[in-house]
Amino acid sequence: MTIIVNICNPLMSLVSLSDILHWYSLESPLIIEVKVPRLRFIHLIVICCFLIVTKANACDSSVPCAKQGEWNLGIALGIGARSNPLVDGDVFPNIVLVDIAWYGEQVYFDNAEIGYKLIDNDTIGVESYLTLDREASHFKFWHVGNFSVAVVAPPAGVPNEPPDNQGSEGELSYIALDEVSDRKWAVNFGTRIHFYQPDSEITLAVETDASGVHKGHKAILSYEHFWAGNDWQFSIRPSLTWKSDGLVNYYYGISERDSPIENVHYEASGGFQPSIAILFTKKINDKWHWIANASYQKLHSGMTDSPLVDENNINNVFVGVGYRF
Amino acid sequence: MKIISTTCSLVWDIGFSMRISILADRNRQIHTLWALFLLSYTSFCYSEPVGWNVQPKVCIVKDKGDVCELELTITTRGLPAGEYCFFQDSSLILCKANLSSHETITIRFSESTRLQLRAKGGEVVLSHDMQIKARESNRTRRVRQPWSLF
Repeated sequence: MTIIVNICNPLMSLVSLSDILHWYSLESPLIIEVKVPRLRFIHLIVICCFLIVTKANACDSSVPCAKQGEWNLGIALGIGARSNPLVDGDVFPNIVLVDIAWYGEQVYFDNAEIGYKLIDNDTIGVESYLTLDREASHFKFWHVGNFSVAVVAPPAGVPNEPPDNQGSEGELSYIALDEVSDRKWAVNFGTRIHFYQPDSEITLAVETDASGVHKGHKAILSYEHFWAGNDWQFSIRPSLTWKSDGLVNYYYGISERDSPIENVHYEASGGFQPSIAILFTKKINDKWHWIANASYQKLHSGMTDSPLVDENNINNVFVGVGYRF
Repeated sequence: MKIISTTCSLVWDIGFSMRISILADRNRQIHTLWALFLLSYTSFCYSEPVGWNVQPKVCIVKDKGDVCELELTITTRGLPAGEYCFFQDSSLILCKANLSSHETITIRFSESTRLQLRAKGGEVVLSHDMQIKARESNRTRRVRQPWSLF
């Protein structure tokens, strides 16, 4: 308990929990072998926030809400697609979208994310969570990230045309998806803070790889504005995502693990990726409603310069009807 | 209204006392004139004030934010002839040249709203606040956008 109070001190902001425990064990007459995951300042803030009393926030018709204590299930049928920036990568047809969420007082599950609400009131919300890193979804067709497709669509997607992989000096400048080694799923641990306004929201999320797959980090800053009528909702969300070198290089770097040919080796670097997303829903009746969403994400050069990457953006679009159980 | 009421009472008192004295004089003509005057004055004093009754007054929804659709039964009284319009806040619902004493209109709202009856010139003749109440809500704000696995 004393340690937690100390690490909440901003003066110790750059010291990790494992460092503190190591120091503590040296000063103690007892030699204690302490092995803990290496936690950084952001996580210590999260631990401090557990002490804050939470209060449920108000839910009105303009923001997405869920019924507490029960599963909120939805399924949508429609037409759309999500592009794949990889060379020879499959374009994912969006035919079925699934929406699954369960919210308790503080614990929640929301579409492949499990988390704990630390603060939840009308003006601010903070939660910590574990979530799948979507980066691996570009490399795999049958995965939860493309669950929307797996239900209905045939396994063979529409591949991107592989470009001419001969560079100007006869070197290989591109490498196809099926020529590289498998990229694993990563599970990220993150903390997100929301600043709520009546018709808008600013969100900042910081995530780090908790599974040891890429050992990288990412941060997402977004602004979302809501409009709502009696039976419709519309939101627009510009955002900026930063991805670290470790994350980008694990997925898009090319090394010995992929090819012995040094000409295609590439060390990818981190960077910023701006994006914009819109979501429109209109109620047909109590169970059915129209759904339309679209997003555009610009990729940074540290990623797009990779021989594995063919496109400099990712697009997603879906139009259909949804059913709420 | 209080001034009119007081004036009416005073006129009634004077008229009644004068009628007694006139009857005593057995002057039939003056008695008839006073009777007519009092009759007309009585109808003025007791003319129905403008008002309405809107039913129901409250809508109860399952959860806060749910849309309520209500068919309102409106009973008006004492409304001079003319064209009137129903407004929900600043939105026009309908206009009618001759309102019957019982009207039915349908409104939709998800937050408390105000129903108004306006004359043709735009002045608000009658106003009524509609309340919306939710049963104890068990809804919470989602931390992610729905319909997105990522």
